[in-house]
Amino acid sequence: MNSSLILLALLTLVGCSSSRIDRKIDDVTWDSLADESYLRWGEKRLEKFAHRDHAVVQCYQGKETETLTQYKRDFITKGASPYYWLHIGNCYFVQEAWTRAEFFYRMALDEAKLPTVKSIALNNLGLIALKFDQWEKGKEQLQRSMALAPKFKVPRYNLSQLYLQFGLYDRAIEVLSDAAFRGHKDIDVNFSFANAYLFKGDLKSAGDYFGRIPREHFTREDIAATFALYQIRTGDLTGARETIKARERSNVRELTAISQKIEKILLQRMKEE
Amino acid sequence: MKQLLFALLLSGALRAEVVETKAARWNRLMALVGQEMRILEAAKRKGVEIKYRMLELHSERLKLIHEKNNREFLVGSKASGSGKDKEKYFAETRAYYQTTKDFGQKILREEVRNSRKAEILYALALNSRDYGRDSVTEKYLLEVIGLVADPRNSLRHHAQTALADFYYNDKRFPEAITYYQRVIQNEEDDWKTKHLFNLSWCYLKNRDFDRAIDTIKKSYFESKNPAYVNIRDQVLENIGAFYVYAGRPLDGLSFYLDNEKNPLPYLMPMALKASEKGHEKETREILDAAQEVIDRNSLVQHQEELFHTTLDFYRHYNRFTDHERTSRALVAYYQRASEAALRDKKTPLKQDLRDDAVEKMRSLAGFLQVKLAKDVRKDAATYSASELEVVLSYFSHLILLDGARKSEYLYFRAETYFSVNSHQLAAASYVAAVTEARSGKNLDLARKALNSLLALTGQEELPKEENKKYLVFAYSQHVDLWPRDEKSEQIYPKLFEIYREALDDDAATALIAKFHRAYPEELPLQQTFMTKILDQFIDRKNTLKLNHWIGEFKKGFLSFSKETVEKTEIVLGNLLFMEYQELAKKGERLAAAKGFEGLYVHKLYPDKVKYQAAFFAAMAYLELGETQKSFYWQELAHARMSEEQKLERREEQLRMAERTYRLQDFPTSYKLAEFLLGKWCERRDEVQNRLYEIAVMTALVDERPLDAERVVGQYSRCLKVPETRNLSLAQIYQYHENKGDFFKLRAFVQRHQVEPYVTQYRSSLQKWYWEKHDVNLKEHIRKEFRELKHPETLAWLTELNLHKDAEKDFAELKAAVVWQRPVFDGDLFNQALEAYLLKLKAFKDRYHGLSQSSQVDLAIVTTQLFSQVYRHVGQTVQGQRPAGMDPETLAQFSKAMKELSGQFLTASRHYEKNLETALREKETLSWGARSIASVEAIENPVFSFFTALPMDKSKD
Repeated sequence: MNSSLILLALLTLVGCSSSRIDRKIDDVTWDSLADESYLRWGEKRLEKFAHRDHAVVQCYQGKETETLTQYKRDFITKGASPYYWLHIGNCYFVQEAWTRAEFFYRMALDEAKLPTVKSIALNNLGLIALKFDQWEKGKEQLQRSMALAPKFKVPRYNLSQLYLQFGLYDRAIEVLSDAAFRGHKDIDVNFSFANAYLFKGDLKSAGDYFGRIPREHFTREDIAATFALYQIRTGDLTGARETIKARERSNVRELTAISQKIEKILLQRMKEE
Repeated sequence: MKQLLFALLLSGALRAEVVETKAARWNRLMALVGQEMRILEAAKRKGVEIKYRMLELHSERLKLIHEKNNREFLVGSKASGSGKDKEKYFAETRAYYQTTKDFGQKILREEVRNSRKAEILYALALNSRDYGRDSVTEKYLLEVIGLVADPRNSLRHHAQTALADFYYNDKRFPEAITYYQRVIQNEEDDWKTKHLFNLSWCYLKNRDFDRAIDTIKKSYFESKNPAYVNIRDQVLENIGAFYVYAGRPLDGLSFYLDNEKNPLPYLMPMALKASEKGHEKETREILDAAQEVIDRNSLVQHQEELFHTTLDFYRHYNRFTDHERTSRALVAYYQRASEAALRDKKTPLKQDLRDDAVEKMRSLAGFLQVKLAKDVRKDAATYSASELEVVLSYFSHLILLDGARKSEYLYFRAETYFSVNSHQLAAASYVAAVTEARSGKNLDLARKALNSLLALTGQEELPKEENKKYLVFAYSQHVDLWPRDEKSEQIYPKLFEIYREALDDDAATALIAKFHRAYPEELPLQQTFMTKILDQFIDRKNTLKLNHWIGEFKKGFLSFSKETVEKTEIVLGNLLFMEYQELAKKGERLAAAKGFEGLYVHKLYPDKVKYQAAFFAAMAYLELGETQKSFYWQELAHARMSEEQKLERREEQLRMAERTYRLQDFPTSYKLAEFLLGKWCERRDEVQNRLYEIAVMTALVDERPLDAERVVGQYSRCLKVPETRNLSLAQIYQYHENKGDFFKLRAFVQRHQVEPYVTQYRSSLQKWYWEKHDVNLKEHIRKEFRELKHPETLAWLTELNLHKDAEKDFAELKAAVVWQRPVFDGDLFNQALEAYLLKLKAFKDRYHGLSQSSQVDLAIVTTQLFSQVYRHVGQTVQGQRPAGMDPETLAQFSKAMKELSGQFLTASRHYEKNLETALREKETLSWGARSIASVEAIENPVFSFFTALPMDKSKD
C-alpha cells in the first residue's frame, strides 16, 4: 500500500468518526421515546414509516442532502408548517452541522406558535448548547422545554443525561422518575437509572435496572462500559472483561478513552488475582 | 464623314438661298416695277398706251403690296393669336388701291378717245374686286361688256366670266347662271369645266337639281378632255351631295360605283350628306356598299373613315346600340391597327381619326349619361337598362382607346352608376378611378373622385360595413394625396377614430405619424390619439406593440415626456410579466422563471423591462429554492437598473436575502446582504441595520467568522443603531467560544478588547482550563493568564500553582511515615505523631483557601483533596501498629489512636458531605463535579451530548 493510500485510509477513518453514539433500536417496544424522536429508530422502522409522517425521517436514513434540498423546494408550500424549520435543523443536526442546526432551531423557536413546537425547539437548542459545553445554558433550555410541554419525555431524559454527566445522580433519578415515564420500557431510561445507581453506589438497584435492558444492547459502548464497571464493583472481573471485549466501538473519543481505561484496570486486576 | 459634313453645309446654304430668294423676288419685282415706272414717268409725252402700261404697273405694284400686307397680317395675327385689326395691316394696300384707282380714272377722264378704255375698266374692276372696298366691280365689268360687243372678244369673255363669278360669290345665282351659260359657250376656254361646275352649283342653289346634276356631270366628263382643266376631284367631292339634294342618293351611289374605280373617298361624304338629309335607309345602303367595296378591293385604308361615317350616321339617328356596336368594332380595329403598326409602320390600317373616335364616344356617353340622370330624376324605375349598358360599354371602349384618360372614364363610369343609384358599383368605380388617377398623377380627378365617394358614403346608402370600407378608402387616400389640406385636417381625427374602433393599430399609428408630419402644430391632439392606441394595446395585452412604440417614443416620436415613456414601460413590464406571474401563482414557477428569462434575453425590450424580467426571474427562482440562480438573476437585474431603481428594490432585496438564508443558502444570502450593505452604506437606516445583521449572522452560520468580523469592521459605519455592532461582536465571540478554539478566541479578544468579552474571555479560559484534557492547551491558558496581567487571572494562576503544591504536599503526606522504629518509645512516638499532624495543619493552613476559590472546579477538587487528606491522615493514625508492643498496651494504644483518628475521618466525611450537598443544591455542572463522581476512578461513560436525543415531533 503506498503512502497516499494510507493517507486516504486515515482520512476515511477520521471522516467516519462521530461525536455521537449509534443507538438504533429496531424493536419499538424498547423505545418509549419513539413518539418524540426519530433518532433511535432502527432502519426497519424508518423504512416502514418513511414519508408517512415527516420528510425528516429521510435524514435519519442518510439522505440529509437530498432532504434538505427538498425542504428548499417545499418552502413555499410547507414553510408555514410548525415543523418546517425544526426538521431542517434536525437534518443539519444529523449532519453534525451544529451552527446551522442551531440557526434553524432558533428559527423554529422564533416562529412557532405552538408551545409543543417551542418546547421541541428548546430541547434541540439545549442539545446544541451541550455540544458547545454550555452546560448551564443547555440545562436552562431543557428546563424551559419541560415547562412548556410537561408531558414530553425527551427533554426530561436529556436533562437526566446532563445530571448523570455531572454526578447529580439523585437529580437524574428524580427526573427519570417523573410521571411522564410511568410504565416505560426504554433501554436508555433503564440504562440511565442503572448508571445513576451504580455511580451512587447502589449496586443492587443498578443491577436491577441493568437486568431490564435486553442483552443485545450491552454491546453499545456506553452501556458496555458502565456495565463493566458494575461488574468490576460486584467482583465479576471475567464478566466485565467479556462485556468490554464484546462492545461495539462507537468511535466517540471520550468513550473510547473510558473503555480503554476499563480494559487497563481489568488487565491489572486480573493480573493481581 | 467629310462628305456628310459637306452635304449638311450645302443643305443649309440651299435653305438660306431659298429664303433669300423669296424676299429677293418681291424686292426684285418691286424694283423692276419701280424701274419701269420711273422710265415711263420720265417720258415727256405719255400716250394711252404708256398710261395703260403704267396702270398695269400700278396694279402689279398693288398686287405686290397686297402680298406684303398679307404676309404681315399672317405674321401679326399669328403672333397676336387673332385676326382683329386686319384693315390696319392692309392700310398700304388700300391706299395704293386708291392711288391706282385714281390713276385709272384719271386716264379715263383725260383720254377722250381711248382705245384702252375697256381694258382700263376691266383692270379697275378686278382691282376693286381684289383690293378695294368700293363695290365698283359689277359696274365696271358691265361697262366692259357694254364696250366690247364682239362675243368672241376675249376681254368680253373674261369680263363675263368675272361677272358670273362675281354674282356667284355674291349669291346672285340667277345672274350668275345667265353669265355662266354664256361663258360655257366658249369652247376655247380651258376653264370650261370649272364654269360648268360653278354653273351646276348655281342650279343647285336655285333648287334646279336635275339641271345641276346634268351640268356637274358635264363638268366631270369634260374634265376627262385634256383640252380643259381637270376638276374631276372637285366634281366627285360634290356630285354625291347634288344627288342627295336631288333626293336621289342611290343614283349618286350608282354614279360613283359606275364611274370610279375607288369611289370610297366620295361615298362616305355622300353617306353623311344623305344621312343629314334624312335618307336613313339609303345611307345605310351607301355605307354597306362602301364596306363591300373595301372588302372586295381590300381598300382597308378607308376602313377607319367608314367606321367614323357609320358612327356619325348612327349618332344622327340616335341609334345608340348600333353606335355602340360600331364603336366596339372600331376599338377592335384600332387595336389591330396598333398591333399592325408595331409590326409595320407603313401599315394601311390608319389611325388618323383616333382622337375623333374618342371624342365621338365621349360625346355620346356624356349625352346618354345626362339623359339617364334626367330619366332617373323623373322616376327611378324608368331609366333604360340598355342605355346604361351602352354608356358603361363606351367607358370600357374609351379606356381601351384612350388609356391616358382611363381614370376619367372610370370616374364617368362611377358617376353613371351613381346617377342610376347603383351605389355599390359606383363606390367600386370611384375607388378604381382614384387608384388610376393616382397612378396617372391626375390629382384633380383623384380629388373629384374622392369627393364623390365621400358624398356617396355620406348618404349612407351602402351596407354599413361597406360604407365604412369606402369611407376609410376615401379618407386614407385623401390624406395620402394631400397630407396638409383643409379637408385632410378634418379627416385625420375621423379616420383615426375609425381605425381605432376597428382595432387597426397599424393603420391608426401610421395615420398619427402622417398627421404629425403634416401638422406638427397639432402635437397634443396626436399625443392623445397615440395614448388611445396605447390603451388598446394595454387592453389587448399586446406587449410586442407596446414595446415597439416605447422604442419609437425613445427615439423621439411625438415628443412624449420621459414620465409618459416610463409609465408605458411600467405598463409593458406589468403586461409582459402578468403571464408568468400567473404561472408562478399556479405553482408553475420554473416555467415562470424561464418565461422571465426569455423576456430578459429578448433583444427588443428596453432596459427597464429587462431588469424587471431579471428581477422577477430571481424571485421565481427564489420561490423554487434556487437561491444561487436567484442571486445570479439579481445581479443581471442590477446591471440594467438605474440608481433610482436599485434603491427602490433595496427593501425587496433585503427580503430576498432573508428568504435566501431561510432557504439554507447562507453564502449567497451573505453575498447579497454585504453587497447591499456596502452599496447603500450612507443611508444608515433600518434596512441597513438589518442587512448588517444578516451579513454577520450568515457569515457565522456558514462558519466564516473572519467575514463576519470584516463586516463589523467595514460596515459598522452604515448602521442606524450603533449598538448593533456590539451585538454582532457578541455573536462572533460566542461563535469562537462555541468552537472552543483558544487561538481564534484569543485573537478575536485581542482585536476587540472591550467588555463584556474580556471578562467573559477570562471565564471561558478558566472553564476550558479545567474541562479540556489537552495538556498543551492548559499550558497556553496558564500563559494567557499571565499575559493578561489581570488581578483575577493572576490570582487564578497563583491558585493553580498552589493547587499543584497541594497535590504535591498530599503526595508527600501520603508517603510520610509516622513511626517505624523497632522499639516503641512513647515520647518519641508522640513527637513523631505531632510532627505528622503538624504537616496536616500546615497543609490545611496553606491550602484551605483554595476550597473557597472563585474557580469552582478548583474549589471542588480542593475540597475533595482535603477530604482525601483527612481520610488518609485518619486512616494513617488509626493504622499505627508500633513494633515491640505487648498486646495489652497495643489495645490501649489502638483505642487511643482510634479516638484520635476519628476526628480526622469525621472531618474527611464532613468535607465530602458538604461538597456533595453543595453540588446537589447548586446543581453545579462543572468539570470538577464530574471529576469527583467516578467508579473505580473511571469517569462516567455518560456524556449528555452523546446520549441526549433531539426531538422531531410530538405525540399529539
